[in-house]
Amino acid sequence: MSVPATAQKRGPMWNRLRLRERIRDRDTAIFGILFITAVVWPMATIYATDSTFLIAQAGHAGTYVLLAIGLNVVVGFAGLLDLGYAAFFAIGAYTYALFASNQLASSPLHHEFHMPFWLMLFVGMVVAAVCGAILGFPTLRLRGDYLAIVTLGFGEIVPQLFYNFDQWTGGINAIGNIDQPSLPYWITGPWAEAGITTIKLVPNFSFAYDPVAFYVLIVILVILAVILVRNLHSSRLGRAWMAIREDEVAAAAMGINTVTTKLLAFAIGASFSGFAGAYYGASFGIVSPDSFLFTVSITVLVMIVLGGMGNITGVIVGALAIYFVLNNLLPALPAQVESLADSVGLGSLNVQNGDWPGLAGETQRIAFLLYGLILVVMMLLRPQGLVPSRVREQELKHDAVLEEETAVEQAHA
Amino acid sequence: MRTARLGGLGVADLGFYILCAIAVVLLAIQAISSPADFLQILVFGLADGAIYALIALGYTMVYGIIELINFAHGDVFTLGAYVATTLIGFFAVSEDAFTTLNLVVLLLVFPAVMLIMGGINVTIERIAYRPLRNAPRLAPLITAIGMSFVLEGFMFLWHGPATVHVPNLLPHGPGFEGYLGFDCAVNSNNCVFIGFKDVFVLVAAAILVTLLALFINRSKLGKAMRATAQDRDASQLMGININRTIAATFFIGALLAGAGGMIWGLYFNTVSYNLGFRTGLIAFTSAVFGGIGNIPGAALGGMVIGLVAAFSDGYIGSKWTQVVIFGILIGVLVFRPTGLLGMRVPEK
Amino acid sequence: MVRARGLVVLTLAVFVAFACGGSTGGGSKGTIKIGSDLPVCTVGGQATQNGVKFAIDQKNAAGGVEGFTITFQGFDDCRQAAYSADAGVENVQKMLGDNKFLGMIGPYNSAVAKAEIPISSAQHFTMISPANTNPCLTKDLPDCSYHPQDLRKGNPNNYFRVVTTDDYQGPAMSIYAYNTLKFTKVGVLDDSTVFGVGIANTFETKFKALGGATLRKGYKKDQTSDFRVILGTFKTFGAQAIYVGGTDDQNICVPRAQMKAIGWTVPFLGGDGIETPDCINEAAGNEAGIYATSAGADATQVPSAASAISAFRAAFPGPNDFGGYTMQAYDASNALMAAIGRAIKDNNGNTPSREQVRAEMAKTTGFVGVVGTYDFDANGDTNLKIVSIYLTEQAADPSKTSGVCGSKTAKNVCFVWKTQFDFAKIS
Repeated sequence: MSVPATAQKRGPMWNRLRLRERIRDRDTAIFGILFITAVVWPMATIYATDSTFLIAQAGHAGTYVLLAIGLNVVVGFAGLLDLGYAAFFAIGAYTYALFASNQLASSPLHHEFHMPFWLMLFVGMVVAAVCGAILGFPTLRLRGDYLAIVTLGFGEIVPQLFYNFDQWTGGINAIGNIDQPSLPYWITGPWAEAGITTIKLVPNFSFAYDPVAFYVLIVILVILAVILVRNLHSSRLGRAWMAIREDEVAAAAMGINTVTTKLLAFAIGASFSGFAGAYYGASFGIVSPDSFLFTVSITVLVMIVLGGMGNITGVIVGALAIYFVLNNLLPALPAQVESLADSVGLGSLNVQNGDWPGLAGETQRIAFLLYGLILVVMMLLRPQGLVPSRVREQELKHDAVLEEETAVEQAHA
Repeated sequence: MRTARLGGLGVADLGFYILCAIAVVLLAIQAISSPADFLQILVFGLADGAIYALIALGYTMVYGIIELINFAHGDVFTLGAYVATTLIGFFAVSEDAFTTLNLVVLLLVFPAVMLIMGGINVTIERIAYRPLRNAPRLAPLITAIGMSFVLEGFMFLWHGPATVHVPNLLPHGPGFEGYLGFDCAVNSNNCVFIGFKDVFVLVAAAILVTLLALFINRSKLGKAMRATAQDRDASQLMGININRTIAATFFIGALLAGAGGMIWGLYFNTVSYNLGFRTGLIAFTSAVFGGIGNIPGAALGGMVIGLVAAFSDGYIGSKWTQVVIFGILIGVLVFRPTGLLGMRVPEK
Repeated sequence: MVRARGLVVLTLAVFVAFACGGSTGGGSKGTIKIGSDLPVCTVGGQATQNGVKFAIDQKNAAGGVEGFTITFQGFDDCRQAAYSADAGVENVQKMLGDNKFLGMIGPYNSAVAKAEIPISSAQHFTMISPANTNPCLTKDLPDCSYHPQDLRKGNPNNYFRVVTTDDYQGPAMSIYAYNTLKFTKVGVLDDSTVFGVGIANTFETKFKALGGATLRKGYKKDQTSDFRVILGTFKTFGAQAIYVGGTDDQNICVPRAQMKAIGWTVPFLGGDGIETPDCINEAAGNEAGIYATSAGADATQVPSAASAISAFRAAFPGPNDFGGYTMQAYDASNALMAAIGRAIKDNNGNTPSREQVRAEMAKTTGFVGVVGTYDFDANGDTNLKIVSIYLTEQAADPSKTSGVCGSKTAKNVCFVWKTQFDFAKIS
């Protein structure tokens, strides 16, 4: 076969897949990079650091990605500001924890449950969704920020209830010793018994806090969530959400049932955090009311706004970026600064002395301030987010032009 | 027609009034069974409420004019206490006694703290909010959260994680002690303790709120603020300088928050860097409770929330206080979506 | 668009650069890592970490363990200036991920231990806590809402502690308050943490058993800053003292300062969570009259510890470098290194496995530390059951006291050792 013939043959294929166009599309390109990174991550990190920690951390970051994807449905798609999203996260986590540990044995029920993780993943989702709808129902009369305040109140009440009803939830003692997910026999069983240990995914049919197993699980969950939300976004419901976000009165006039649509936004948004909650409970093995405070709601909100509200890619990038800043960059800063000071001959600054807590201590103290500054500066530089959705970007440009025109007119007047 | 309208309003309003009535009856039962306890909690609640009211005013003014939940406002309040501590530290005051020097220091530091906080808040507005006035609605909310972290981080850097002691400039001694003829020396359990400080807090807050109300209602700038809150574009057409009006709103809000911070410091003598986060949230709740954007409403809301928190601490247990406060908030918003005095309906 | 892509690439680059950052150098025969997981943002956590660091430096200077150099890495479980169980779990995962880590000292807070034990026990990773006192971590008591065997999930015990538990610490104060101070009515306040609720329960139970009466209240740090209503109910109850279960990072000593505001002067009692400089700072203006227990012997009262303390003081001269659990951390580190040494011998001089270290640690008997001689029972508890009692006083020479003094306002107010209870002898 001659060379030109191959090129000719490749041509239509290339066109059919529209690969070039797809790669040119920013969001798809980012998805591709993220996906490849996710696949390579375990091998790369183990090779580079000889430690599974970064995999465990990536798994934890995945929880936040799930949360961000869910909150994005409520805030980004439907435009309903939710300041109490952590409540649903808590509900998901507690649903799994209560029915997959020996907690209920010491409750007035005196009977413990050990439901399988895979089932509870969906039960947690449904319970969170129902709670979302219950919260949504009485508040649908409310407009704009009043809704935000009610969700804020809900977010404050829920963890406190889990704390107060300590007969059932163990209160501050938390629910520990939560069951680990186990794989069905047919995945690990035959190979394990045949003694082929090299391809055994997890030992003893159980995840047993194995970071790699949890990592694989969360990557699959995130991919499922992304596919789901992408389809939702372009569905009839997704368009209804956007209509409500832009103008509720007009949307209602066009025949959209605003009540049902808003309720669905709440319920579907909440269901993702139910998902994340069950995963969180299993991967940490402990669920405590202190893990679902207002700061969690705020962090997730920051993630989606900073990443680019309404755009799933942006939201994922935002979640990873903020997680990285909060859990890697800032905690590692003191040690980095200390070694830097040592290498430039300012080692004396590292020593704690009187009111001076040492350079590392001082850096540790400054970390919180830095986080605030990062938020402010990022927002000022990119008010529309790191990776804004295309549509909104265009709208904003249009707005800005209009705004400029008015300003010019005023200046002339 | 008339009955129909009443009927239409009735369902929600009736629920609201029933809730209020239940609360009053429950409190009355407590008041009769143990009057001394009741009075004591009432005094603490009023004093706390007065401070919440001062902070809530800043939230409500800012929200009323630019529809921003200014999360950094609670931290401006805390920073006020920190600045006051530092300023007081420059003088050789005598703690736990009320000397002439203490009085002079108080009269000097009070306005200084208020002005400094005002300046800081205007700067925050200039840096973090003004550039985003035409950005997506949530962008300034995130910078507000960011500024809140910046302020907290600054105080953390300044004094570390532990609580900071604010010098005690006010006399400790009770302004009033005793109850209905009981002799406190004989039976201290039946005593109501109203310290000089409790009176001080209430009086100071009352003066500040009155001054604010006068300013908003009488001055030209106050009028401009009200106009801008109602319709920004129209007031701009009327020749009102929007930027200056909004800056003035932040300035006045911070004056009150700074005063609140200093009063808090003098009252409790301990502050910690993250005090403003929770206190701000409660104050914001008060503002919503009173009807956001409504100045008398914020003051009333602050007092009510202060009382609710104190009674809940005393009669229900402090682990339920959070649930009670936010439960009431949700109840009020569901039954009366515009708050206690929400005459304005901001349907934007 | 190009800018956005640039940002993503940059983020990824930073990720990767970060991932590659943590390589380590070699040692004499090799290195073994010991970690610590402590709330370094607090004065007490920092002072405890100093003890670990001091022990390891000393050991390395003397030639290391069986020819191996010990590398110390301190992890901080603070998030926003207070301990966090989540941060603790992440730190343990960090250590578990690196095979060179053979054991850890910590954690400091019982809530953190509760979250960490299930994860570390699965990998037989030795943990020795210098400060955890919640009894439920090791003992299956009826009051406990969880069982120690559940935390360990059938794995052999990997958790040890060198301090005694709250079921001795709380009662010690009950006995002292009822018998010595002659109180019969006490208000009990807890800070709603695992430690605070636990120790307040043990105090209350014992105090009632002795014949006293109590009134119980709780608060949460982020929700309560005005304690006067709670204090008022105690006052109405007629309390002759207040017992607080909690730690200074939960503002447990702020009510002490506010007691003055309601004109009420009764003693303030508590556990080891208030035997700290930060407690004295929080109580500023009303520091005197605070009684506190500590779950170990006072190192300054043990003659054998004197030389270790003076060596420590020379290495760490800062006023707050030495704390109530510094010497306990020193002993814990040495016990761990001794176990690692024996495990190396078991493994013919090679780097031992985590299970070998854990097994050797469990076999520890008659380990001579500076505070006392330790035996560990099957649960991982020490046989040393000494509880010390302190009272805040104006001290002419702070260095002669427990070393726990105010660090800001009242620098001369220090916890002064009063007496001790030895429950090993009592029972």
